[in-house]
Amino acid sequence: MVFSVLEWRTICLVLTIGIQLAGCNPERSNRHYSPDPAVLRIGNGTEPQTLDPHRAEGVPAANILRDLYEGLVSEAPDGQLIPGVAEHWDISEDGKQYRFYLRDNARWSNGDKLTAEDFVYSFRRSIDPKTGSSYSNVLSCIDQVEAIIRGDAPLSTLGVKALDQRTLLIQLKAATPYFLSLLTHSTTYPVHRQSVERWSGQFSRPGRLISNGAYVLDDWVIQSTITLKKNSRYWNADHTRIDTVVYHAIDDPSQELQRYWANELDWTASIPVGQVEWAKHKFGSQLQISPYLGTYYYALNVSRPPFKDQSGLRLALSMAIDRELIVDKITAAGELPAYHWVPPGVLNYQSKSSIDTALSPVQRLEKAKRLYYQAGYSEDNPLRVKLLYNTSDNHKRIALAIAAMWRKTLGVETELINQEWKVFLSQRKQLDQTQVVRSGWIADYNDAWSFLELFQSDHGMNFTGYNNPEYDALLSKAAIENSQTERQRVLQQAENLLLHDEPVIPVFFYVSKSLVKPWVQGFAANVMDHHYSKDLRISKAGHLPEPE
Amino acid sequence: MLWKYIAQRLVGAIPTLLVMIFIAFYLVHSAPGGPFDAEKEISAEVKANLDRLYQLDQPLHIQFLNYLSSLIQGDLGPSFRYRDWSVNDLIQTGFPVSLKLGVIAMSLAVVVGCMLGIVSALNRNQILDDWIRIGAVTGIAIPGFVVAPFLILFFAIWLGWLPAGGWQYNRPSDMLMPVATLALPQIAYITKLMRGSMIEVLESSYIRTAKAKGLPIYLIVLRHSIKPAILPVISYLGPASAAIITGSVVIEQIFGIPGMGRYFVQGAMNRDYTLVLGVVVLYGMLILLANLIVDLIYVWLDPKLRYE
Amino acid sequence: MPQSSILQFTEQLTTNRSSRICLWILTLIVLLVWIGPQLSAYDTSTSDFSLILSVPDLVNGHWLGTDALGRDVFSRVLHGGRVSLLVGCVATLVSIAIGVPYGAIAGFYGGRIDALMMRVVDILYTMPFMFFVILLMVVFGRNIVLIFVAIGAVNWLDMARIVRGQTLSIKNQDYMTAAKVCGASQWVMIYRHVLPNLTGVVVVYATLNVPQVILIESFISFLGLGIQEPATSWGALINSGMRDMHRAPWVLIAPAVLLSLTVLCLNMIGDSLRDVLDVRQKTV
Repeated sequence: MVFSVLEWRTICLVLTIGIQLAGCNPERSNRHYSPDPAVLRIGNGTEPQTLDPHRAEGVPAANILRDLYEGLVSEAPDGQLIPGVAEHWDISEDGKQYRFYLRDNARWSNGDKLTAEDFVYSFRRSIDPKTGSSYSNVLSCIDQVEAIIRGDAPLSTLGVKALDQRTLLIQLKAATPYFLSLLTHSTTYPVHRQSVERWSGQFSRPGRLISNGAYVLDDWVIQSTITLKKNSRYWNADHTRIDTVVYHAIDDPSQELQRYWANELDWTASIPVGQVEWAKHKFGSQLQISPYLGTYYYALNVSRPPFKDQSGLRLALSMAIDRELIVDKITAAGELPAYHWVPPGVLNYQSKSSIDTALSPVQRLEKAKRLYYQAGYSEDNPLRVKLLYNTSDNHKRIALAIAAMWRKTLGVETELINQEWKVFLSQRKQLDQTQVVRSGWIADYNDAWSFLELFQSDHGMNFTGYNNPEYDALLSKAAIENSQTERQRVLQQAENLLLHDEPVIPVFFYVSKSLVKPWVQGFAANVMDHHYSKDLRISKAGHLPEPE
Repeated sequence: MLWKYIAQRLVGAIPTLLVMIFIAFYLVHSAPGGPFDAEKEISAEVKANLDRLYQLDQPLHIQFLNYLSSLIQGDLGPSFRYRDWSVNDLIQTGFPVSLKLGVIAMSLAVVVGCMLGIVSALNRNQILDDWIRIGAVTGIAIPGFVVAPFLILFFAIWLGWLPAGGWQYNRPSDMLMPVATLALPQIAYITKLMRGSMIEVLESSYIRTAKAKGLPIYLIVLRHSIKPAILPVISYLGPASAAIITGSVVIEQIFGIPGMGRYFVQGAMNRDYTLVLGVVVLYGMLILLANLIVDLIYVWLDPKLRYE
Repeated sequence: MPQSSILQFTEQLTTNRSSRICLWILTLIVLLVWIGPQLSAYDTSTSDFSLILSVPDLVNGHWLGTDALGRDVFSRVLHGGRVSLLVGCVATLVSIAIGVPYGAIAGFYGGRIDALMMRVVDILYTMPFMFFVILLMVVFGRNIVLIFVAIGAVNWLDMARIVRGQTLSIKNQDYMTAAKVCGASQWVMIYRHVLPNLTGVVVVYATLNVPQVILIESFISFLGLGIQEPATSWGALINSGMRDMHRAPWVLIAPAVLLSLTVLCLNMIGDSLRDVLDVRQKTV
């Protein structure tokens, strides 16, 4: 029962060899893998709640819906807007009226003709409060939407009308420069009326779902896979090269990475935080990193102490964060350090403000200290803050790093409060309790408005308690502004004001990061990270040599 | 006699089940946050609509009674998170997966564990016995979630022999690592039990008589020792099935297997009230049933016992 | 009587070679966990961003390397060990506090009270208890005190059953009848005669209970429901180690080895204690 000296030595030897092996990774497996040209296997993050385009939420569902459905407008691989179900369209002089001409050969997957009436039905369903869509207010630029959501007007008054079978008219409240890009969002997709009515709420299941995109739903195993098959009735079906697309629900990026590594996935939804450097070394050009329209930020509650009326203190905390270090060492995927709120790459917008990037890093820290002392804190009387974030390895690592920076530069004592997602969601709303809340915002559509609207005093996602009538006025002004340049100027003013008041600490701008096997061709990066399986193919040449 | 006993046990299980459902119901409903809280805030009107649709606007005790009454009709309600599916649908797809995983792991544990135990007992205090015993204690001490990552690293990533996770198309290769990880501690436990009881049986007077008569050892083991020696293993099967069910929660998480354990954890996180309750009800019944079956086997094997 | 039996325990224990070694290893681990963090030049939470996932190195003082945030693995593993062992001990104390009086009362009074109390235990036994622990964690958030209580609260059943069995057999001993004849009150009998004679069983099953609890805690922490940052435990460390294992296996190996070793040793010691106890029972 007891180990002899000799046995101990063997055990130690085995352990040492194990550790050695772990260091050098012999990897014999990946050499001879040859992919199936008909099947694309995608890692897709969390399991989508539903594939009903009007009730779906989140990126994983949106990815699948893009393959299943097609809206009036679609996107090319590089993100350019291209005709979808609408072959072409006219925009009126004042920019308020859109006339869409639908394709003659647009059909549902069961062969039914797709008509302008289908779109009228779908837009109404999407906006109808009974549907329970969380995105209906995205469409509030359309005439009468706000009144309908409030319940002040009947659905039939909606500014979406069918002029004939193939012509659709959409009337807007004001000229909205981003309206066409909005039409790629799933909340504007058409749904098949008969099947929706027949199955009431539960039509998006295999065997029931009738869609109009390049793919149809073939199989759905909850918490595992969603399988799509090529839709032969799609108007451009000849262009579709891959027959089967399998979306794998894998919550944990580390697990996803393992399965990609073992050649069980062709494409990952993300890369575990901090592993990008390693992945670059390991997978070389398979690593795809590109700018993404999203900002990672900390919201400061300005409605109660210690941050109420203390814009200097808020600025000090913001300046004490070494954003370069966070993007270089913690997230380390080529994220951009965020010194302003609206990320670069947004259409028709250029951010003009910044958090003192003119200063050198050392000067910035000096200024942060000065502001901190001015706010009445010191080493003996440190600021104590509570930082709320939701349980996730990524957020944990970033929160720990920022807390360490605050402590080091200012002496701030940060209490990390880590809550599981649902608790986090209900706690972040409670302005009488929160102090600092970890947040992130990803654009629903490519426009600065999507970012700036967040800090309107009555916006549902404003978790800072920021309430500045001047800011609200600027946004209202931008909302009805028809001139592109003037609108940009007003929005820039608003962003400037926001950064001056500092209810928010932007930390970095997201990048989309994924691993794509070399045999997947036709993949192109774009700022929205929207990809369509119909544009991809799997090279028949089979396996390309892996870099080592 | 037998049927009366079974009926008695089943009726006796009803209060247990009720208590279980009651506790679980109030626990999930008192968790902070609700099923419809999401990254995107929904408007108050939409929220009210959803609450009405899922009967969340009613007082809790009414909801409880409603739940019970639909449960009696075999309806576990709609899933709050997966809006297109009912809990019955989900269990129909998830349970066979978990059941398969559990049954294979359990059979493996019993067969391998008993064999190792017998071998160990027959070679008592020899080198083989020592190694088996070391293996058994180690197997009990190392939890599945420690074994699993190493297995994945070794067999899936370095060697590329087995998939790193997933459960598609019912490939046997998908099951190998999860089953092994799940069975390992149970193999260890059963080996230990079997060894102990086998030694005791082998020392008993009637076996000594058999030995004296000159019967070959394998016949003694096969004909006379296994049946009495296996009794402690049988009575361990109840706790073992509970342990395998619990273990599968983590194993399904690590290997990405779409089974009940994963549903449960995800359901608890997402406040999918009905899904959580469905899993608890199902597993509660299963454990009750497993205990009943174990008792029946026990009585069947041990003639000294009678149904009480 | 308990005095001598404990002496006997230790004597028997130290004559058994394997459990002696286990005792040594365990003592070593406890000592390490206790004073080890002071030996390290680094504390558990300070990040060194220039040393992320660095290899174990005797020269720079990161004896077990650093983790993904540049924190010292050695001191983190020991701190995690403190939490794990603490959870193990405190939850066991909770289960003793509930289980011993419960079992003793049921066994001592017998009859209807016993039947009723044991029926409750039977009902609780059939619950899928890990599921309830998970629900408890979700409901009450994750504070460490709660983890103790939750685990202890569901873990007292074994203790209650064993104590009841033992109490039943003690009740029938001659000295109990003698005490009764002498007119000792029931409380005196429980306090003077029953409880001291339970010490042996309780010690054995407590020893076996600690590793169980440590495993349960790490199981929950592994699911991400247990101990929260900046505090940590072996289960939480294994969880985060798993994410980095292909680049930096030491982050996983260190807590995994310590956890397994501790559980192994405690099991072995518990087992031989039980053997010793059996011997004593035979001689009584």
